[in-house]
Amino acid sequence: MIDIVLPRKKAANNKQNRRDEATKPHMQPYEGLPIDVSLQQALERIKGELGESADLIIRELAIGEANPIPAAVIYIQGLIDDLRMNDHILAPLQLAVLTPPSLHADQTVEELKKELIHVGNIENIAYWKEAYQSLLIGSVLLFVEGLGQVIAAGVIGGPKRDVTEPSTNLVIRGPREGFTESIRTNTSLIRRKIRSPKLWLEQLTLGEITQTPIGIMYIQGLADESIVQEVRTRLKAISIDGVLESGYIEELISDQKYTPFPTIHHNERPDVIAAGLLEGRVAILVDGTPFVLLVPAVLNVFFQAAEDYYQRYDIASFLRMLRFVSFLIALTLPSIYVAIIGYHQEMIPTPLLLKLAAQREGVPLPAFVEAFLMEVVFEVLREAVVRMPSAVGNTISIVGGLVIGQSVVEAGFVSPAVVIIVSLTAISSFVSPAYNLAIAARLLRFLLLIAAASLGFFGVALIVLFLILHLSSLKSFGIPYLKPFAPFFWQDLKDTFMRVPLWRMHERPQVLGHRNPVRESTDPDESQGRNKSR
Amino acid sequence: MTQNQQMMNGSITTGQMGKLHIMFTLGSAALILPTMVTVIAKQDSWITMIMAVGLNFMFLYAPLELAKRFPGQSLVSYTQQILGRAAGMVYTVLYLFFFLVLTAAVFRNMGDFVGTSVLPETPRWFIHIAFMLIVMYGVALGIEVMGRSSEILFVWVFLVFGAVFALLTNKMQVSNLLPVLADGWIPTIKGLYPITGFPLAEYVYVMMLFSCVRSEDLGKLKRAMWMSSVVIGISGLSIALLLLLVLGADLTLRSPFAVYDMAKEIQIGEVLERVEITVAMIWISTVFTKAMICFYVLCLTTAQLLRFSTYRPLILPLAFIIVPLSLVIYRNTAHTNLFAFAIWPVFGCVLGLLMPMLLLAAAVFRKQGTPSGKGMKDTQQPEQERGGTSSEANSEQRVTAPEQRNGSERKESMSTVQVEKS
Amino acid sequence: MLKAAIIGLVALVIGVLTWKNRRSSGRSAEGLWSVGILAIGAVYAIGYSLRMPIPNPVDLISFVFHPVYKPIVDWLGIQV
Repeated sequence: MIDIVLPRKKAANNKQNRRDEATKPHMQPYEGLPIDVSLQQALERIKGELGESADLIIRELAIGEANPIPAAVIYIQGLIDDLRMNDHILAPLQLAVLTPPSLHADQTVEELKKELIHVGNIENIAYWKEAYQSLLIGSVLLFVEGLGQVIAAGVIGGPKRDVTEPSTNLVIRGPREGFTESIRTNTSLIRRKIRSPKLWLEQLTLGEITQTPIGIMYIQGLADESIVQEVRTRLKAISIDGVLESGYIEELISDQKYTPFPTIHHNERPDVIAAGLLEGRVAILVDGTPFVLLVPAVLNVFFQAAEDYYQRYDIASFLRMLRFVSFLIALTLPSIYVAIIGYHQEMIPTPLLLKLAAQREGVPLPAFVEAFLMEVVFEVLREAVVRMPSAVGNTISIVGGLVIGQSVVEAGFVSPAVVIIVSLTAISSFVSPAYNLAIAARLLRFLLLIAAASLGFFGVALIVLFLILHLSSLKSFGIPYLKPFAPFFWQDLKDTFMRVPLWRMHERPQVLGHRNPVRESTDPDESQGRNKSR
Repeated sequence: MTQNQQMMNGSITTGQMGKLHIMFTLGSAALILPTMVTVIAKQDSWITMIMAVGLNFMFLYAPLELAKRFPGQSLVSYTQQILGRAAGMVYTVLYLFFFLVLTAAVFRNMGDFVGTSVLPETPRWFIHIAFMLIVMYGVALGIEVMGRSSEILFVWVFLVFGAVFALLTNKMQVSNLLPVLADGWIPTIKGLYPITGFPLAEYVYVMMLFSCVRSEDLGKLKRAMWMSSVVIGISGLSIALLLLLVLGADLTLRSPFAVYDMAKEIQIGEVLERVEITVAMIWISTVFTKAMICFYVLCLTTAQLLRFSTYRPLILPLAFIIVPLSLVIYRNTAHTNLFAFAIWPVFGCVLGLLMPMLLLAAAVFRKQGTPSGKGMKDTQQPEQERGGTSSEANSEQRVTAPEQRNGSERKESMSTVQVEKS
Repeated sequence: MLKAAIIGLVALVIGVLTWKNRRSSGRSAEGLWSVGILAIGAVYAIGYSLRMPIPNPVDLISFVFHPVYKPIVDWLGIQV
């Protein structure tokens, strides 16, 4: 039950708002309520609040031998590490011989912490709200009669996916680890790449109900302070009841709402995120998803793959250019075909024109309808395969690709040229290392097709101009989207169409306008190479 | 930010101004002008093109001086300051008329080219409206976006232009240039006449656009404009030379869109031929930039004259005038030639050269504005009668770094990020 | 006729929207000017679509500069 209501739709959703107002008071009755002094009362309250959920474990015990004090250990099964709790919390408490000298709150707490709880991460909590929060994150709560406080010991555990190779952004050469669903694992993966005290992590919780931990990670001194501040402000402005994936955050903090182009980068690989941090970008981690966001993201970033930097620069540059070209092909090829067939047949060399004309003979549909239909069929096929189990998926792709593709041509409904064009487009659109940019090309292809059908190359030119204007108007966290092409930065072109050798890349991109422009060359060989080259 | 720049939605760097200027100048001129010059100067038209570079500086002199005297102010506000309110308004209305005709003429040039060469069977009004829709989108996005997009288009245009140049080397015939100066210098000087009107006189548009240049960059403005004039000169010269070398004077003066016809000559083996459509596409993008600038300047002048808070509400109404006007402005090709060739230079020189010079003289004589660009930071500017920019506003803008401005924009966008809890 | 009606309708919609927009931001004068210019444009466009003779500013310019450009063209010695 997650509803996002944007301010613009407020009026339309008035009814919903009223319903929300009605339910809201029940949501957090414990706001600002201090922990009860009486143990029994406290236990009653917690049972009431959690509805005596089956996984809520309340273990009552008595501390001390001579004059035992009633206490209770409370946790949620599955969220904590049972073994550690038994060994380091329950056992010491039960075996304790000492009796707290008095029931003076602060002293008892200090004593308990000092002597009886053998866990690193401990905090005192005085209010119910925080108590529930840490209980639900995976802390063990210790209630002691007459204390009016709770000791929360963090022994987070429970089932967790291992660090495995990511299923997207695959590389031939490069680290195999990928992020997992646990934010703590993810931050540790990044920390293991950047062992600098200047790698800072700020944490906050988002989602009224889900209380999802969100991390903002950046390298202090490299990241532009104003961008970090902007990230903070935008995240804090979010008010939503659930954050289940970083896609929620991505959509809510983007600069521009109405654009098919992504203005925030996301990735599953710690090395990519670490590289981004080293360039002065800011990472946003969301608990519960392996996809970490990276801002600001300019268009160029979506053409960079992790492997570009692990391979030799020559092949990396070649692949980089290949990606730009395939993006253009994926975007424009069908419309160019339609424009040529419909308006500019004189452009084609005569032998080819004869061949095409022979193919199109007997095809009942105009070129535009042909291409449009085949594109739609392809999109349908793609969507059908994506969420199928791989066994079924293979069948569908054979049926779709081979059977339909071949028979539709043999039956003479479409010309083979169109099938070739559509397949080329499809393959090209898979070249992009960023899936979300390929999506933009997928959508805009149809716009271009329509323009080509109505105005030929003039229409294509107009839509391309429109796209250039649109891209120029986009910004990602205040950074123009087309940087370094426009505004033009000669220096930064070293990592765009080409990936120049690393020893040439000793300056960070100026795109982000940060304070520490020079990368340091740590490898003596590298710096030698650099000197030699100069 | 000055009031002007708020209205215009941002500011541009001098580099972007220079690139916009190059695109503006090459805009419609690159395709049409060589024919006109060749008609007069024959095979010596390239000499005319060299001479035209000097004229570039002449036409830019008065606007640059005025921009230095009145930093951050546009034509509308400084004419009123120099000439007084009533006279200033009349002066501005003349320019409004000029920009209206100019925008319509640019649209018509585009329509003529696309209608005859690319899409002969499509109705003209459809071409004009489609073009107008994209132009309106660009104008609505504001000068910053136009500046950035011009940087992209600039690279694209010069890459394709360079490629065309390289691909035509096998078709060049140096004998086409002979005899040099067969009829003496007179025809080459006569050949300057159409150039003065088109594109030189159209340079007055900078009197509006200079006020969009970031004021911390104003010191570099002159250099950027001189640089772009040199680039324009070199491209003009190379286009003229290329046309003569490949087509020869006779073919050039017979073809209404000579560069396009020249691109048809490209043939490298059996592989690469009939690529003139790429030339058409880059020409469309330069003429698009020009149309966008003209329309933007038209909207901006109108808005400032009528003291609007933003020019945006005027985009659609003015588009309603431009499209039909551009369709009726020339009756036929002969009329186009007569007007663009013979009348426009006279009209243009009056508004584009004479009047700015007189305005500058009046400013010097009446001691209006700050005479030296360096002193503008501390010298108190004369307060304007109404709604002008004060020097405080100017200096405030100077200290505002672009990043900070971005910050305020971000805040703006921030407000849309707010999400209602459900 | 149909074309003229469509143009009129589009102009009407734009006019109403512009007017409402300017009114709501408290700038009625701007709204008035915009709608005024729009009306001129709409008349112009409708006139064009009905093939009526509509004023052409180029003719005005030609007329005003008639005495100047004729001798120049003669001096240039070109046929235009």
